[in-house]
Amino acid sequence: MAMTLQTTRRPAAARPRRQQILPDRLLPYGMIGPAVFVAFAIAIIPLCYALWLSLQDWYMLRRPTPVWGGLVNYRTLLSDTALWASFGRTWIWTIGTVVVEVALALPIALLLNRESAVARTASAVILLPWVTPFIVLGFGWRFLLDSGVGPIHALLHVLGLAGDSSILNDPVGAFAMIIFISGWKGTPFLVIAILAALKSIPDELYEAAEVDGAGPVQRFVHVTLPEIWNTIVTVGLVLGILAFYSFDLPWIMTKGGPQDATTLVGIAMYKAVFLDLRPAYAAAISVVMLVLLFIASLITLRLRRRH
Amino acid sequence: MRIKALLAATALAAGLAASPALAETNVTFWQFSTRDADIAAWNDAIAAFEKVNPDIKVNMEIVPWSEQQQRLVSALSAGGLPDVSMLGNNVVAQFQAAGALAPLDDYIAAYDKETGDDFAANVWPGDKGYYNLAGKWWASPVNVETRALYYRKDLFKAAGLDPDKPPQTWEEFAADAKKLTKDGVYGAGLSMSLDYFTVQNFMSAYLGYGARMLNDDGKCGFDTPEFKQALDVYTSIYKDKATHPDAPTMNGDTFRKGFRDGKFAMILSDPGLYKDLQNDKAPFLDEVGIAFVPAGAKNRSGFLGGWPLVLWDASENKEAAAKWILFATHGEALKNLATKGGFIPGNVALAKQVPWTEFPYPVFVEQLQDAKAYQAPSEAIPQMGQLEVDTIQKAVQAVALGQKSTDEATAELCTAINDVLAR
Repeated sequence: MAMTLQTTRRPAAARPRRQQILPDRLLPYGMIGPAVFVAFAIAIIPLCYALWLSLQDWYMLRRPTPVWGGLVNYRTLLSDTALWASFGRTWIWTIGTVVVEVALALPIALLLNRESAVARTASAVILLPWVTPFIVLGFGWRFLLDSGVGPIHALLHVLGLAGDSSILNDPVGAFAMIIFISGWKGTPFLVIAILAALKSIPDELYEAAEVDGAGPVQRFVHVTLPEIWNTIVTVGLVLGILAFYSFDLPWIMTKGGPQDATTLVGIAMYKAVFLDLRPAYAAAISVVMLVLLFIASLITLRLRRRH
Repeated sequence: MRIKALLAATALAAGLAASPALAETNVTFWQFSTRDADIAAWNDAIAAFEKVNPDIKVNMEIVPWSEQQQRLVSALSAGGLPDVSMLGNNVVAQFQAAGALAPLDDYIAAYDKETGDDFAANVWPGDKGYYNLAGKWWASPVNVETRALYYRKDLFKAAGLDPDKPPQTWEEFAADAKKLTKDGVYGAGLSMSLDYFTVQNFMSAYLGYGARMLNDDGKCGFDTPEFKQALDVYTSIYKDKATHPDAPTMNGDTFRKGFRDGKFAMILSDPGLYKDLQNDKAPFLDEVGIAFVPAGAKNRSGFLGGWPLVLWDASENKEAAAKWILFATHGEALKNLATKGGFIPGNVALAKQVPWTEFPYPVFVEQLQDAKAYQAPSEAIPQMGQLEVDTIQKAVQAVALGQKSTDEATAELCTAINDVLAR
């Protein structure tokens, strides 16, 4: 008994004392700290600066330094009809770009979703538009659409979509064409994402569908599409956000013309800062863009399929 | 004692070694040309300057023309401006109004006194309106540019036109362009797009017809018969298919390249085009004639381009920076820069010397007497940097494409200009 007591009272073998940099309760904060710091530095601070700037009155030609202006830029923005027209165009551009991307990426991904050397090579080659800089693509497409020597112009001419001059001279044609090019450039990214989703679909699902008598179309609609839907929505959202902030392509191709036919909000914002010297007004535009995009993103995310 | 002597000697040596470094003043300089020849010429100028000013070091940074406006505006709002930079002549008033530039008057007075030069007398007449604002000098010109009419004599002959009689007026230019358009060659390389090239060409027409961008009240002065006539004549060249069908969306470089490739019979361009044709060894080089720009009903007006060096007000080394500006924009340094760059110097006295007395320069030098600013005869306005980009071009493009009538396009143009001026 005495021995038992002695045994139970004997302290457990002392564990080697750990050298603690942070107390245990602070450790989680320490671990997420760097990530929070980075997020703060690259996202929150610029966002706060943009918000602060948007509340200043700063037209550099009249006022070398900013002064508090309250909502002056937002009031100007509300009555800027040209800007709202460019917002409208930007939504058409964004949705159009994503539609083109999905329309092109889905069949390509289905074609490449097979184990063959051709598919593997094609998967690598297909990335080319994605990795090519806008400046190269822009000038390349201008050449392709040139009414004198452009092969795509010749094709469009035969199809009756272009007259004697480049389709870029026509406001509707130019806008539609640049939307197509924008979607074509983003397609590879979506192809790769869909391809990854396709590879993760278990064969058993197809086998079960086949046993139930499902044909190729039914298998696609009831098995493939539901399995890749969330990937399409999520990646489509990312590509849509990129498209919403577009500037390079329409600027290189048409400088926002003919007239204002391809002037997106990105171009309007660029002009506000660098040509009109109104950084505070441009900041207000960016804040409105952010709010609209945030709302649109929330709505889009609701389209995701819940398992 | 020996240790003390050694310490004293070390301190003296250290002091001597450190003194030049302490006295050295650094001047940052943003240079916009990316051409190898220009960069080499600027490096030569810097080396020559540092040789006579060993206490000043000039640090050149290449900022391409296509990025300079973004870089300057970003630096203006967030900091990081250089001491000295190039600048387009038409935006000097913009940055001066923003309070970003420093006046050069005191430095110019000292320079004139020291060298016996007369700075003001050697600035081209048109440039004075750009660089002398509110009675002060804000820039010292490096380059001055105007456009002349390049035309192909062989194509004139083939079209039944007299190769020794290039078009003298815009009407003749339009008529000749029509006749010259055949066999895959377009009569005129004339832009209708939202590009600088459009306004740089069209300004010769509207000023030539007597139109003014600004009226006496300082508002848009384009809503006049003179402007509308100029717009009609200019855009008729596109409507008559005498220029490239894609002219409403083509940029200036494409037109220039087109002339070099033999696709256009006429183009308005700068002296550098002749140098390009020489470098290309163009087979039609001997058939290229150069004449004055066409005149309008009232006068002949040439484009007035160019760029000076400016001193930024944020500079902490203004004296050294101003020294560099005046060195680079005068004498042998400027002559070397202009010769290698193939441009006409912004110094009148220098432009009267060789090589600017030899072909193809004399016609350009003579035309500089008729070269005017977009807003002539009004004074420079700070908003020109905004107006130059897409106001006038939009009117030209809309009329050329038949999207708007001349009256509608002119009315909208004036609304746009007045909106910018009223901000």
